[in-house]
Amino acid sequence: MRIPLLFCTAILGASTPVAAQFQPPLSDRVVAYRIDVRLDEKAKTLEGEEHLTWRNPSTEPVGDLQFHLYLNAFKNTHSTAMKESGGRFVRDDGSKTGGWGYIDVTSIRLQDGAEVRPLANFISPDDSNAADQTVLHVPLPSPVGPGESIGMDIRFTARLPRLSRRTGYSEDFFMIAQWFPKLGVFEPKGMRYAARGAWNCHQFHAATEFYADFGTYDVNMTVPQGFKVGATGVRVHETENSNGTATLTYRAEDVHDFAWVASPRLAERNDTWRDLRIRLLMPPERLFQSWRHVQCVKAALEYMDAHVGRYPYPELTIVDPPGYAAAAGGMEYPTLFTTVSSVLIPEQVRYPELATVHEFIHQYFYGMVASNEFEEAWMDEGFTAYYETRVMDAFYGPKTSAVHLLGFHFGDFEYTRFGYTSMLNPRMAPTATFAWELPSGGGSLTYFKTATILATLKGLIGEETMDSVMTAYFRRWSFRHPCGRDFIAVVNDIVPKTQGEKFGKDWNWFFDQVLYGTGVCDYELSSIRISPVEDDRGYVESDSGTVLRDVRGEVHGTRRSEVTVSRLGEVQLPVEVLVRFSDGSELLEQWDGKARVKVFRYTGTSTVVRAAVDPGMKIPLDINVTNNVKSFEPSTGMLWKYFCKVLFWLQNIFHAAATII
Amino acid sequence: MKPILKIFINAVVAAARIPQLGSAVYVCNLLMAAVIAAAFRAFVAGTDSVSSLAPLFTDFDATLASDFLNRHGEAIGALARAVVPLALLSLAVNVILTGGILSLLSSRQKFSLRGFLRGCGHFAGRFLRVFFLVCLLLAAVGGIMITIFAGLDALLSSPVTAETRGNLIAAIGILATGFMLVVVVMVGDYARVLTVVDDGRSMLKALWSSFRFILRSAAGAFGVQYLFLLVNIGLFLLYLSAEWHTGTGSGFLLGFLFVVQQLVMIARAFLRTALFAGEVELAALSAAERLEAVAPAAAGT
Repeated sequence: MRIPLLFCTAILGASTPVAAQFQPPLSDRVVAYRIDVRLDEKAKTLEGEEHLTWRNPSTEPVGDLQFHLYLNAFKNTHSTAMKESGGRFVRDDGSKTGGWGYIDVTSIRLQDGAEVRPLANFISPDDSNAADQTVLHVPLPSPVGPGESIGMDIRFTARLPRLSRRTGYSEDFFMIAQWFPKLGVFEPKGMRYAARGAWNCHQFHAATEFYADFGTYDVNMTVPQGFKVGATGVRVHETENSNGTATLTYRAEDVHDFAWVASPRLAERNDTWRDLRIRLLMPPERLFQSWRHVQCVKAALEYMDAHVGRYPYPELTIVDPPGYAAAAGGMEYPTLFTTVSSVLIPEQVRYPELATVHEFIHQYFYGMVASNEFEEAWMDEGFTAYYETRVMDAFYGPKTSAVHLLGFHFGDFEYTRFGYTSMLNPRMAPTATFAWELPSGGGSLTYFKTATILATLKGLIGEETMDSVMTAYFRRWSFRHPCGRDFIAVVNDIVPKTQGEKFGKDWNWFFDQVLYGTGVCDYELSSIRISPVEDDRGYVESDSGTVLRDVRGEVHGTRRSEVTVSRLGEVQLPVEVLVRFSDGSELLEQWDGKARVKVFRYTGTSTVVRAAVDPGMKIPLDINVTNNVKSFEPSTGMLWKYFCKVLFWLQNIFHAAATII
Repeated sequence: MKPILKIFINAVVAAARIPQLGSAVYVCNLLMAAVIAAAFRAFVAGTDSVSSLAPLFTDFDATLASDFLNRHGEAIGALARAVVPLALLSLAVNVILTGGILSLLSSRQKFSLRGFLRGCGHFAGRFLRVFFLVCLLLAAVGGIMITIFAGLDALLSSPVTAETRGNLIAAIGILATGFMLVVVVMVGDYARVLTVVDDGRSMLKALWSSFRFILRSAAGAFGVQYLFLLVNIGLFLLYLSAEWHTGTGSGFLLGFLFVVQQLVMIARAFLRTALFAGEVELAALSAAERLEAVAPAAAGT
């Protein structure tokens, strides 16, 4: 079944109940979903009818469709996600209904009336697990031509799992995400450097997220009256039905997913930033700290607007799930995200702020710049973690943005870098690895190493150039699907324009090492050696001709200083070395960082008293900064300070123990 | 019954009159702690990181600290583990010292090293038994309280109310458990006091007598205990305030802070001795009151 694009648009336009939010559209709008869904809060089920229109964006005919049926990951112990998680994917409460969930597509009827559900079969493109039912392959009676559209009506029923992996129910709280039959992405030849056009529709893995096309969503959700609902997009209509239910209509444009939350136990706070409406849903007992989320999300909006680009949607919904639904926390969806908090977290521990800022920044890196989260998770999680640290450190202070309690403090970037440097094996895999193929603990590469890589890039090219790179990247790739090479191409385009070719013609050398390689970066200030300078010996030229001088002696007052710097890791980065002399003067040396050892030599009356590799901490990828300095200057203050601290606290521990017993 | 404040003042005066007792407690803990602190300092000084760590003098730096721990975490862990046997040794020494302290306080004698050591030795075995019994009681009472409040939580709270009612039950549970543990500590303290006064041999009996004594003299016993507790907390808060406002930007400030730290520890050691003096005085007063009450009755017969 093929429908010309113009005809399809006309149909969609006629069915759209409200005025368009974005004119012209922000994205290519490959898909249009119109869904009617009813939540049965007692049976924990969804019943839905979905009208889907898909336009073939390629220049070749497409003879099949591939759908994500994510809820089938919770169906049984045979799903790939369940196997990958070692059986911990579902919270089975032991009851008859258990924690299991599923989605059953009962009908797929094309617009010409042809029922194609019987033709469909489950496929497992990632691991050949025949029992996995998270990807449904639907052969079409006839292919969809280039630029043509196809429409279909899909009926489905779903049982929600007990809340786990950020979807499902817990008591009266429903986090309804990845809940409807959702098309994969047909990537035309050339898109993300694809050699040929093909569906990109991965199975639901335990450690991956999602990837879908931009489009529009018109969703009617029928829920029990009294339920508070938050959803992707904007609420355009609400009706109370005679049977005790209410139907809420939401419209979302230029998004690639639709998620919603429903619960009778949610309080609401509304706020605005410029012309954006901020809607906060949270348990009533936490309302007193709603200002924390609002304050930090406004700071993030301001920062991202100034440094990356505009948040264009009219509404942003923040959901703070109650404690019993904490598994729903910390997840991003277009124009809606869930955060994490508790009434017990004091203001000085900024974990709720950190979560809120992180998930908000996903609106950029995932929401608008829609990279493939299955294959290149570092592009959304890593970029988000990087900007999370920039926002947090700018707003709350670089050394205090994560925790600032009772004199103890650390910043968000410090925490993020620690996530990478404290890995048991930071060489375990390249950061740019398919997320489901990363070994256990590989998430640290995705989040923390990527953020540290970007901070190192910023250190090398400067903040201004970094901002130019990121604004260009956002401008070029928002509402599209970039891959890692697309980002590197932007770096290669922008940096030489502002920095010249002092780092080379392109930055492939950098990304090849830190992103596609497994090596670590570690520079060490190995030694400072001072030695006397000896008089010339042997046959030397003098005023009276060539004479033999063979007496050992020193040039009075002159010394030779040798500063040895070593590269202990595999990664080679240009690095600065700051050398301080006994007369107080300083010299900043540049080293390309390629050799294993580099010796800097100085001869004069003044000797080297201190030397430091990377004194400005421009290379946070350096996995150990405690070997970066050598000094002849006494620095016993720190030793005595910590002696006193350890002594005092041990005295207190011993004394308290003796007092208690 | 004398007012609690008077007992407190008398106790502080009594402790100050024999400064050697508080000094013994202070020096004992200082030496134990100094062993670990010196080992820690020597270890850090011996690493190749010492130059890089210099900025930690002026302020905490999480990057330096975390990289140092990444590299030397195992050695630091071994040092931290060495605290456990030293803490146990410190406990044992403190228990033994208590014998000397209480015997001098209850006999109101002047300090003599010989008398002090005799007291330590005389009661060492018995006080170590009290120590073990108190440990058992603390574990038992703690376990029972936790069980009670976990049961109450399961009964009265649900996942939906965990953050409101559940937290309230937990807070009440913590306070109630803390109160009961203080009672056990007091039972142990007064058991030692009564043992010294009566030179009793049965520690179970001493604990039982102590428990009855606390019930009988609840106002005084709790009053004295909580007054000393409050003073200790106040002292600690004062120290924290001093540390926050002083910082360690220079050698002078560090030296000043060290003096303040040690003054706090000396004060805590003296307060510990003073608490014993207060408990001795309260026990003596109670005994005198009981004698007064019994004497007329005996005269009547």
